Amino acid sequence: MSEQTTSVENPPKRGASLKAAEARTRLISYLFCLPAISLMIIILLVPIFIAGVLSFTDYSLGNTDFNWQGTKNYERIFGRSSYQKMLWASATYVLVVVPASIGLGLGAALLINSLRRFGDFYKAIYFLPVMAALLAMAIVWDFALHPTIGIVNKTLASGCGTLVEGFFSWGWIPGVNGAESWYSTSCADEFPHWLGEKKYAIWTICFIGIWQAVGFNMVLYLAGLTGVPRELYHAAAIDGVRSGWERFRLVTWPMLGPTTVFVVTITAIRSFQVFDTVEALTEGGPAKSTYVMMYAIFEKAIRENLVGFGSAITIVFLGFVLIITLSQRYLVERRVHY
Amino acid sequence: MASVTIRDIEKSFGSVNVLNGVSVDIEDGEFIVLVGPSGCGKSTLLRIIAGLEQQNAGNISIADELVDNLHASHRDIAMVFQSYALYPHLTVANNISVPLHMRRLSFLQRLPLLGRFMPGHKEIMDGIKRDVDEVTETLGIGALMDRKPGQLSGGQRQRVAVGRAMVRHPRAFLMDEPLSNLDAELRVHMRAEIAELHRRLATTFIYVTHDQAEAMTMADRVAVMMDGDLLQVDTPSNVYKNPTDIRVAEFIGSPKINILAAQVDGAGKITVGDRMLSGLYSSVKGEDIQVGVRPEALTLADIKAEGLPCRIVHHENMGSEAYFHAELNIGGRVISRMDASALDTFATGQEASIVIDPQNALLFGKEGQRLASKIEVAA
Ligand SMILES: Nc1ncnc2c1ncn2[C@@H]1O[C@H](COP(=O)(O)OP(=O)(O)OP(=O)(O)O)[C@@H](O)[C@H]1O
Ligand SMILES: [Mg+2]
Repeated sequence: MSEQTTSVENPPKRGASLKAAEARTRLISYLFCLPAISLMIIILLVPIFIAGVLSFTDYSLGNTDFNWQGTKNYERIFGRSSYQKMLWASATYVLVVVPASIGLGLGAALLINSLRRFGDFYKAIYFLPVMAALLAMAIVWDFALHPTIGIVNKTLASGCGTLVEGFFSWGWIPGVNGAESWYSTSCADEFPHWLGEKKYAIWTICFIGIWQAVGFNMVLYLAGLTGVPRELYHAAAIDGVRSGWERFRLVTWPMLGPTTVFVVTITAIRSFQVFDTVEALTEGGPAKSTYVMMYAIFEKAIRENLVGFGSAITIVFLGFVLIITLSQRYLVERRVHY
Repeated sequence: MASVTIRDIEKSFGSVNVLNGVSVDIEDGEFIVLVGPSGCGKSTLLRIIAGLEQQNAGNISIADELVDNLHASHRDIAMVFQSYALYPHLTVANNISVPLHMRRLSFLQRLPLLGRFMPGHKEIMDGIKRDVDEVTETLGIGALMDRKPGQLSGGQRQRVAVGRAMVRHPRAFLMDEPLSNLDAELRVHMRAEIAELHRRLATTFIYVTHDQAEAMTMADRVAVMMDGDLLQVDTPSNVYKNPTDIRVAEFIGSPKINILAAQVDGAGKITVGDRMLSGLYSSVKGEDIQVGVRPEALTLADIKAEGLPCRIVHHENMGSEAYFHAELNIGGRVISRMDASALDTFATGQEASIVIDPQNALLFGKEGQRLASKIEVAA
C-alpha cells in the first residue's frame, strides 16, 4: 500500500526500479541459456573458428609453432590444377547425383504410392542400399565392376555377337553405323575398367551414389505424399483435370514443395560429403578424376598432416554447404510455405 | 442446370454397407438438402454423384443422361468440399480460374512457359479473367484476389471455394457441409447467402449437412438419411409435421420430439400412462404403440389439471420462450416448449401435469413406422 503511494508520488523512481527489475530478469534468462549457449559455442562454433584460423597457416599436428601464410592456401585451392580438379570432381558428383537421385526417388515414390499391393515390399527393396553400410557395399561394387572377373563386364561381354549387341549398337536406326557404336567397339576391343579409367571413374562413382541415395529420397517423398490431402485430388478431378500429368502439376508437385526443398538440401550436402566410395574404390584416382573435397581433406589433413591446408579446404567446403542451406531457407520462406 | 436422378444406389466398403439402395429424383433448379447423422453415408452419396467414387449398383443420371461411366471432370458439376480443398500454392484468382484453365485452354496452351506463345492464348486468358472478375464481384472477394488461401479467414475461404464452383456455370452444385468449419454467427449468415445464391443462379443444388437447422432453413426439399437408407424426402414443413418414420421425427426438430409409450384398445382409443388422449383414434387396434409429441404440443398445467403428473427438473429461459424438462411420474422425461410467460407460473422443482395436444400427436408403430390417426372433435 505504502509502496503504491510512493510510486504514484515519484513516477520516475518507479520507472527506474522497473528497469532494474527488467534488467535482472533479462540477466537471469541469459543465465538459463548459458549452458546451452556455451555448449553450442564450444562444440560447434569454436572448431569451425579454429579451422578458419588454421586455414591461414601452415600448421601440422604435433608442431608447437606455425607460420602465417595469408591467403596462400586458398590461392592454391583455386589456382593449382589438382585442386581445380577437386572442385570439378565434387561439382560433377553433386550436379549428377542430386538431380538423378531426386528424380528417380520421386518417380519410385509415385509408383509405389499408386500400388495397391506390394508397396511395402518395394519400399524395403529400395531402402536396402540406404541401410547397408556404404563401405561394405563398396566392396561388392568393387567385385562387380572388376574389369575381367566382374559380373558387369562379364554380362556385357556375353551379349557380344548376339541380338543384344545388335540392339544396343543402334545399327538398326537408319543412318547409324552400328560398328562404330560404343557397344560394338567395346566388344571388339574390351569393356572398360570402370573404376580405373579417367573417362569412366567419376561417372561410376556417381552411379553408385545415385544407387544409394534413391532409396533415401524415395522414403522422404513417400512421407511427403502421405501429407497431400486427398480432397485436393478430388477437387482437381471436379475442376476438369484428367491426365496424371496435369494432376501432378496442379496438386502433387506443388504440395511436395517443402519436401523437395528438404530433399534437395539433404542430398546436396550428403553428396558434397561423399567419401567412403572414393576411399574404398578409387582413392581419388585415376589422375585425380574422383578427387572429391572430403577425400582431399582426409588426404591432406590426416594422411599428409597438412592441417593448415586441410582446414582451408574444409572452410571452402563449409562455404558451399552454407550456400546450399541459406538458399534452402530463402526458398522455403519465399516459395513453398503456403 | 439439370435434373439429377439417383436410382437404387448401393455402396459398400469391404463388408460394410454404406448405402443400401438410395433413390431420389432431384428436379432442375431444386435446392435439396441431404441431412442425417454423422456416418450415415451422405458424403459417400455426394461423391458418387460427383463421380469421385464408384457405386456398387444403381445409376446416376444428370439431365436424363446416364453418367455412371463418365469421369468426374466430364459430368459438368461443381463441388464445394467441407475442407474447401483450395490449392494452397495458388492465389485466390488462380484458384478460381483453375476450372476454366482446364476446360478452355488446350494442352499446349497450358504448358508452363511456352503456353503463352501459343495462338489464341491471350484471347482465352482475357475471357477467363472477365469471368473470374464477375464471380469475385458477386461474392465480394475482389479485394482478396492476390492472397493465398492460407492468408484468408474461414468465411473468405468458403467464398473462394464457392467462387471456384460458380465460375464455370455447372449443371449442378454439390456442397458437402460447406459451413461446418465456420463459427455459429457466420454460419447463420452464410446460410442465407447460399440460399440467395441459389435463387439467383437457379441451378440445382445438392447440399449435405448433419445440421437439421441448416436443412430446414435452406431446402426446397429435405432428404433425411439414416444408416444408408433414405427415410423421407419432402418439404421442410412436411418433414417436420408429417414424419413417416420415428427416426425422422427424432432427428428433425430441436429440442427433440418427445416419445411416449402408449396402448391402443379395441376401439382404437389411445392411453398414455393412465390418461386417455381424447378425440384421437389409432388405425391399429389392441397394440402397444409410440406417441410422438413435439415440445410445443406439450403444455404444462396445474398439478390438479387433467394430464400426466410430473415434476419439473430443469428449465431453460430462451428469452421469448422457455423449455421445461419434466420427469413423468409414469417414467420417462419430456421437454415442453412454452411462451416465456410460463416462467411466472412454473419453475424447476415444482410438481405439475403435462397436457398433450391430441391434434399434434404423431403415432408410430413399435417398429417406428408412422401410423394413421383419426381426430374426432368432441362435439
Ligand atoms: N474410403 C472408405 N473406406 C471405408 N469406409 C469408408 C470410406 N469412406 C467412408 N466410409 C464409411 O462409410 C460410412 C459413411 O461415410 P460418409 O463419409 O458418407 O459419412 P457422412 O454421412 O458424410 O458423415 P459426416 O456427417 O460425418 O461427414 C462411414 O461409416 C465411414 O466410416
Ligand atoms: Mg461427410
